[in-house]
Amino acid sequence: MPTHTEQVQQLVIRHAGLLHGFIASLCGDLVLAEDILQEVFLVCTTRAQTFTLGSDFLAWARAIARFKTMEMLRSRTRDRRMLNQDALKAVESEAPSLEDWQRQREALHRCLERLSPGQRRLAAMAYGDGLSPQQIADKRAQAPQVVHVMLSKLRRILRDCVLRRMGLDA
Amino acid sequence: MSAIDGLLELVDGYLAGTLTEVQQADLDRRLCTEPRSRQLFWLAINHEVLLRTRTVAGLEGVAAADAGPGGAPWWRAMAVRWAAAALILVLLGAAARFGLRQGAGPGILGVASLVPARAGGGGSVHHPDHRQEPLRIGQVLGQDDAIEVEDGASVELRAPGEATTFALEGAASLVVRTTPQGMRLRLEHGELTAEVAHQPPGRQVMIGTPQATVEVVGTRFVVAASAERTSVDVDDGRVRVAASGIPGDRAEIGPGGRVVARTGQRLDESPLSELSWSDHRPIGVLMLCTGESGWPRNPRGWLHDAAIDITTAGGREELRRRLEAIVDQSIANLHAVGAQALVFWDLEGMESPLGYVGDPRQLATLAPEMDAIADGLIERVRSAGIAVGVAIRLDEVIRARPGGALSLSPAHAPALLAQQRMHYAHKRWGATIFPLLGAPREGMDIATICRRLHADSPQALIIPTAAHGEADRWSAPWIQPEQLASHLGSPHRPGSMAVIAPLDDAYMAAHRDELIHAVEAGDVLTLRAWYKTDGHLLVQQIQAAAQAHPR
Repeated sequence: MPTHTEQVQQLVIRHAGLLHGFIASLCGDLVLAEDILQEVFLVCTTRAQTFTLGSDFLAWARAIARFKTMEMLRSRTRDRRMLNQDALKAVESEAPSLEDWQRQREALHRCLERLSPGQRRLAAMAYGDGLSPQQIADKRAQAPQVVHVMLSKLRRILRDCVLRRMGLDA
Repeated sequence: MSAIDGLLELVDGYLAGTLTEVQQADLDRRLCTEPRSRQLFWLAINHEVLLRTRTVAGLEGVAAADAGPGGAPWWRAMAVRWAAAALILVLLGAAARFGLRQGAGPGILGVASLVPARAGGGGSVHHPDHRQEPLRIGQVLGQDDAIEVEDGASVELRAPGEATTFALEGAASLVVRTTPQGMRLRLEHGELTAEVAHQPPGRQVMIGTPQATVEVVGTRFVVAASAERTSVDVDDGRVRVAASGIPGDRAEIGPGGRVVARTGQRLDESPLSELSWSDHRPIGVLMLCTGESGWPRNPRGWLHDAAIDITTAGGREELRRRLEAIVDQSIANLHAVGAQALVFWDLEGMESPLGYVGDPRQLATLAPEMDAIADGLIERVRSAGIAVGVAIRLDEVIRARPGGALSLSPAHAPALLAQQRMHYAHKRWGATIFPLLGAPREGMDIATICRRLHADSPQALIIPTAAHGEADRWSAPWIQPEQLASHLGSPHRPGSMAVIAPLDDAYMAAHRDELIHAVEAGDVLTLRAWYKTDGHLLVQQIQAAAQAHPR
């Protein structure tokens, strides 16, 4: 039987993607959000005893994520713009649930399946292998600008497809 | 532009940090007033997060999602990957900051990965109160804990909250200690490789080896120590090294510098020599599998044959016989063209969508039928006077759940990971040639990785398939057919060499003269070894023509 702390850790893992997105919405930076997410994991672990299993985990974890994000942003000089307080409050009030996240993930997978073989190869290089456009350009002996355009198109195809599948394209 | 496109462009700009003041105000306004914009905002952000989780290579996440009743939920594959990176940090951080570790001091290092010896053992941890426990992943090492690694096993240790990693290999012993001034490690015997991150002011990592004490303040460097020799290579910052037993023999080195300490000798500050691979004869490649076969009795696609059955002893014996025949045929083909080596690309099979696995350390678990016969197959090659190569991947290769698909995860320390895989293949099979599959994700470029691998194994030929920058100083980049035209048209840096991927017969015939020039300049041709084509004769002719006019 997992301990209470382990159960909380499992919840954090289960909601990691959602929390990553939530943090990114606050700081406007996906890379920084990854770092903050690890801090959030740490705090959730050490404060696991303050969470009652069965209560609203996402609300609890988001509070921690919000705090850690603000703490991180205060500690560094930022050259990026952020959402204002009203906008933050508005988007947070409609933050997605785990079910929303699952639906979107499923939609993305279905959209990936529909790509042409060439697009799938490109997606695998960019998102699977994590290659930069420059590295892809080198591997394919193409100009980096061409790869940028292809990636941009691919991203757009995927997002449009997800929008359609989620019923948000109308 | 539609309203949707306009909003999504604003979100893209928000995540890229490129919004103007006016655009930011527009985004704020729309999010405050338009419910639909809020929906799109979340969709766009989570879309980027989902893509960044890198579960899309080969769409293995779909397979996990379709696992059906009893299968792991779809999120676990992603989550486990992420957790693998975060778990040690959490365990260590929690232990160090909040004293969760019972009956011991604060955590100094955590066991991030453990590859047992073939005999099955990994090693043990000896605590200062004389308790002893088996080494296991996730273990937290505290003050004065000693770690013993069994011969043939390898262990990766990570420090909490920083990108500092230590790799220990076979029959090694390390004592761990921390002080207010920083971490102190003592390698008693065995091999240690360290990648030390920038340290905060007032703290330094010190590593004692049999030959030297390595002292570092706020820099990134690699130390590799064995029973006879300690070498230090610095990426940036400065490192001080003091020879053991020779008072006053100290060296301070900066970026790109290296120093080697040998038992009883003065410190050697000679710079790292660049790649000098004198054998430019062709190299054969051997690919034994087809990917994603879906064949239940031959899931790793051996020999492209659905009739192969690895689930029975008779089927495995048949596989062995056929593989031996293929290896023998390859040897004959390679002898015919005067080739120097045979490189195995897919010893682990191709069961998963990620393609070539490139982690020979996992052979026993990923392809037990090959693990049982690989030694014999490779020995046939070596006995024929042909060198052996094994493909190595720069990513972690993990299986998120039993029976699930393999997937890639960015390596915390790709150079160390590749090094451990190379050591394994060298020790087990005498491999000296290593194609490097994939590219580092972030933080370290391929040239640095190649330099480190070359520094560690100067007698090996490293062949990065995604080479950049100065990688060709330390390695021989792999040139794909589609890169060949630009490669042949570019000036050759003196002393550099490349390895040209197998080419179609027609292409070789049409570009014979250019290929002769390339080989004259030091490039190495490759060929598919397991079947004979007209191309083998062309390789032979090109080689002969180039040897008549060597560079």
